[in-house]
Amino acid sequence: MPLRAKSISVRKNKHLILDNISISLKKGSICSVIGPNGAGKSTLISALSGEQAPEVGEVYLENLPLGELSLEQLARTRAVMEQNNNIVFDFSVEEVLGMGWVRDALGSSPLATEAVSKLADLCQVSPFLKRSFLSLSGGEKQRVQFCRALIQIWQPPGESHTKYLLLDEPTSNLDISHELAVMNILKKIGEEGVGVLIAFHDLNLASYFSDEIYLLNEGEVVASGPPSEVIRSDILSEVYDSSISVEERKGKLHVYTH
Amino acid sequence: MAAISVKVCHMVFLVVFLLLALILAFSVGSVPLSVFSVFSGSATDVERIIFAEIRAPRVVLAAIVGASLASSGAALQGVFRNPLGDPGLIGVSGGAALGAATAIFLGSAFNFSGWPVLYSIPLAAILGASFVTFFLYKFTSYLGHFSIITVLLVGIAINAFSTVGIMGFQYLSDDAQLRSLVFWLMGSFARAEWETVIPAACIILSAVIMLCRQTRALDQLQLGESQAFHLGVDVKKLQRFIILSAAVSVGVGVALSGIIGFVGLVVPHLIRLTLGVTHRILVPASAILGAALMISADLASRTLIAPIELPVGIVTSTIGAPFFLWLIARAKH
Repeated sequence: MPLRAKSISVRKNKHLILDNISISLKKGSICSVIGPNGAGKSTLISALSGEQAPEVGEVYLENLPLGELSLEQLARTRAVMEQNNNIVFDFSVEEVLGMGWVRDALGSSPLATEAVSKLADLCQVSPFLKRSFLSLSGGEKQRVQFCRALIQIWQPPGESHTKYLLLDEPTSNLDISHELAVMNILKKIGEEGVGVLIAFHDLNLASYFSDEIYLLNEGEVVASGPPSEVIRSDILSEVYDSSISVEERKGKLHVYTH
Repeated sequence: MAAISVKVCHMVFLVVFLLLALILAFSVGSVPLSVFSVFSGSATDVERIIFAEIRAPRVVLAAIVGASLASSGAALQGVFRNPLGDPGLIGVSGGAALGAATAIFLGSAFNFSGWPVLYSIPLAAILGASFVTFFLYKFTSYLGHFSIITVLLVGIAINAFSTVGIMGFQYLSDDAQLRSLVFWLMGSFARAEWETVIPAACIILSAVIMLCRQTRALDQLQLGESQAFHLGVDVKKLQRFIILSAAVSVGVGVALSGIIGFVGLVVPHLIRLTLGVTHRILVPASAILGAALMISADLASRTLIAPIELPVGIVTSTIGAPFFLWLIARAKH
């Protein structure tokens, strides 16, 4: 029962941003979307989330078009982490995390408190729960937003609805150790059955952690499949218009430029 | 835990402040009254009449107008995601003012007296506010998108239009009309009567309650419009709802009391500084503080240089304008 886009095209201000794209995000798999700036990665996330309705084609969640689901149903099934960290008022980190709670209208029920504290520990944001969100560094803000997205799809032990997580550049501001921590969390929740889709610039991270990669260029899928089929020197060099080499070491692909 | 108990103290303080302001405003005036003797029945008939027919409606009107301006300001700042948002910004106060100015001008031109005078000004102001709200709604629907920028720009245009209209009426008015017009434009609770205060109180209280029910969505909106959508908030519907509720509540308030500036701007900021930014607390607490401050400002306006009465708008703007400057300076840092 995947989250899938069937032949979608998206136009923004008369520009064709996505052109006839089909993509399927399966339960429990980690799927990366890579491609140069302006390839349409963020728009693809926006379309898969239901925010941007495609001009042609349809996005389905468990065989139902997204348009037939209520906003609450969508919010309980998939969480989205965007690149935007812009908050005007001086909320505490704890309050920002609480906004991710969508299972009931409160945000302060015992279950919500439990989820917030568990996931804050997991994402290593517990030390600054009481601090002002505005006082955090870019990387810390990103970890808080990541944690908030996890809170949105959290379910108590015993429940096993399929959930999806769509992330736009979740590690762009993180240092190498937190980057790894985030990716390991994603791997773990992937194994627990969550379908994870990540828009990436880091080709190495994409190739290490993905089950499947979609390479986008100018709104079209240029290549897709397991990392070994997409992370190839000839394909990447052409799409990124520079000389890119791929080497295999200890069973992992390494991408570097000359 | 400590932070929670500090907030509880602030909340208790707000309620105590409101009660004290109420008791003081009921008691102090050109005829001093004891609230306790009025309620215990030991007051004279004259005192009872002054309390029931003059002072009580005035104080209640001040309270509901203060609550309406402050809670609408808090909610609008949330919707615009801008701490400088104010009910005046979306043009509603301007529309109401133009409606009232028209009524004042035409009313004395046709020499009306009795009930038309009592109801014509508030009705014209409500009509003006409703027209602006309806226009805002229709115009943004016509444009096909409901963006906050559009609403603000339309608000600026409406304000400019109503300023021109009011200036026109001022230019054409005779002395008596001009006096009445200026008095109304500066804001006053002096003409409060139960016939208009009770329906206004019902409308404003329901609007405040409806605003209080949207506070979680308002919080989530602070993450950005698309993130709020991802969290299940119908953003367009929320924006429309808040703007319409604020317009109705402010329109009714302006209709009865004239234009009173800065309360919608200042009160939510005071609450944010003490009780935090969560709308679940911000909106109701703003309503309470708005009521308490407005009662106090009205008390000041009628006692500071008694027997002359200052328009309450002068009191609020004298305090509010420097505060606004301080706010801009603070926002810059």
